[in-house]
Amino acid sequence: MTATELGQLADLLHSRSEAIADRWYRAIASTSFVSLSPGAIRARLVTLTTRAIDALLGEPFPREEAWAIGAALADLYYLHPDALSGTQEELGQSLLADLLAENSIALQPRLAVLLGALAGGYFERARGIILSEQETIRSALLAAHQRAEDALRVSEARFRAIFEAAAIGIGAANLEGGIQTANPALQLMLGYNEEELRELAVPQFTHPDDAAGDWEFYRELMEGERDHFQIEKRFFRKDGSTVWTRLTSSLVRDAAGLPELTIGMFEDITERKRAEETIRQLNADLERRVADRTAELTAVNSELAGEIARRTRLEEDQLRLLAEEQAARAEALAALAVREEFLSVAAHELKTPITSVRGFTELALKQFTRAEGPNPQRVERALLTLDREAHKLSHLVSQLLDVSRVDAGQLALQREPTELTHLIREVVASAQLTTDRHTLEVHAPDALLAQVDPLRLEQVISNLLSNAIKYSPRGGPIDIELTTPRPDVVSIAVRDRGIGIPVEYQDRLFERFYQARSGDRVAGMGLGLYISRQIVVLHGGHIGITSPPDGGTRFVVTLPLDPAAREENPAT
Amino acid sequence: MSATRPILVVDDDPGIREFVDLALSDEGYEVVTATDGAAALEMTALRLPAIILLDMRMPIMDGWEFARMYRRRPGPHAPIVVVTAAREAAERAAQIAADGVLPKPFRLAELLKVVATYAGQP
Repeated sequence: MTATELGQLADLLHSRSEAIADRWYRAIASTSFVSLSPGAIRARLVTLTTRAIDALLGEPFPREEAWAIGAALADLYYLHPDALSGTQEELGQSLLADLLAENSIALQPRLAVLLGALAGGYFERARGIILSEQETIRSALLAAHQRAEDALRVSEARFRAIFEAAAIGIGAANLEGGIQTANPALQLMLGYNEEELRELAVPQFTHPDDAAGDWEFYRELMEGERDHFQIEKRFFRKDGSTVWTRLTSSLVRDAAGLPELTIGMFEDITERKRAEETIRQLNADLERRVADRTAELTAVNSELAGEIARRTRLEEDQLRLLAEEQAARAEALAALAVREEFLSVAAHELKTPITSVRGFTELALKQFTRAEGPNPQRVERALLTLDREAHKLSHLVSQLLDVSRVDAGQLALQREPTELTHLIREVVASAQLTTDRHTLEVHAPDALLAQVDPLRLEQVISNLLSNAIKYSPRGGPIDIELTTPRPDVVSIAVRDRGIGIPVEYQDRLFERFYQARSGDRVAGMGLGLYISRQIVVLHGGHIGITSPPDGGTRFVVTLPLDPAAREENPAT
Repeated sequence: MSATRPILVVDDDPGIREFVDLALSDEGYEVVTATDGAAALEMTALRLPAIILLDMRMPIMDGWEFARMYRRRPGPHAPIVVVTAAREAAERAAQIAADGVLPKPFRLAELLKVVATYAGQP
């Protein structure tokens, strides 16, 4: 083929390059998937067609260029290896048909070489791409696998770490109770290492008292009625000691949903149980001690109550004895005081007349020492006074004896029928002899008979008259009245017009030794009124005192006419 | 009426009055007597006694009341000697701040000595 022919042919082919590119494109588009846009692919195909035409006409044949065009085609689109042979054929046929139809047979050898080179370049490239892709995929798969493995390993390690480091005992057992795994905490709790545990089934180290406690829970767990349960139970450790645990148990099911493993989490609550037990024991102990103490206190209380009652009785006895003793003592003291008082009064009352008696005796004796001899008148006067004072002493002594009898309860009456008017007139006459300043006047019935002790009654009236004279120093009338205010009662009244007795002293007037009380500044009656009152009272009568509005004092003695008759007829 | 001062005897007991009167008169004293404090007050209003021999227990006005009223008068006052049968003679004397005491029973010599002490020789 000449250069001219080749030039002409080249021009022809170049003019048809776009048509050739279109055919390729159609072939490609039907069998492969491309990443470039249709326009960009066509543009590249036109370039590659032009380069292939140039290579076809090249002298010598540019084999490298042809391989490069084939490789560029492979870069342009990619066919699945299964589809590649068909496509290759079609490519060759299309190129061949176009070129053969248009050109002389002279180009045929060149064309075959070109197609072969193109195919070679294409397949070589395509294989490289496929290998590269396969490698990429394999690497990606490997990486993905690696990542999955890594993740799994991390996850496993994490779970394992949790499992291993958990402070709570964790274990898994098959449905027969055989231990599959146990974490260190559980091993420590039970005292076995994992290998030893794997040889054991849970029931073998369960405390017999707690063995049946969770059967119902297990049943519910197996039947899906609950997903876990919690129970407190005891296990035997390897050393034989007991450990209290709070067991939380759950069930792991296999892919088919059938029970596969039980997971147990064991919390050691031995200390808590011990503390609880200690508290329980302490409480029981406390309760017992409280009960003991209460019983003790109750016993002591009743003992105390008994003791208190006993002491109260003793105290009452002692108080009674003390009261009796005090009463006796007071009585004795009172008796002693009475005796003391009596002696004191006796001494006091006797001192004054004794002074006179001694004094007049001395005066009389003195008369006999006179050089000129005794004065008979003086001696007589002294002797008369001595006689009077001796009488007074005698009277005092009998009064004191009367008081002494009264104190001893020995003052006795000698009652006899007595005519009172006569008795009173005699006593009054006798009293009138002692005074010329007073006028004693008797108002009495002609006769009045009474059952009295005449001597004692005379003593009373005499005393009243003596007082009346003594306490009306300026003289004046003294009235003596004998009446019978009632048929069975006689009244004897003695009324003076003297200094009177203040009302506040009247109540005390008849008290024993009223006059003689030491420190008492009221001058007045002596023993007479006291004795008089005793005599009147012994007669069953009464002695009283009134202060008449016009002055003086009125003593009234009332007596039963006949106490015996009165006793026989008390109604009168 | 004598210019000398009398001895006043105040006692409700006639025996004592008479004895003291007689005994002191024999010695040359002038003696006046009263049966109670009220009568004695009347007498001291008339004449100032050389000494008052005062019994304590008397009707109408006793020795305590007499001493209280006598002292309440403007002076001069005669010394008072308590004459008493009480066991606590000194106590009685102290109660009325008496100048002396003559417990009953007393002897003639004791009477004369007390009177001489307070009233001097007759």
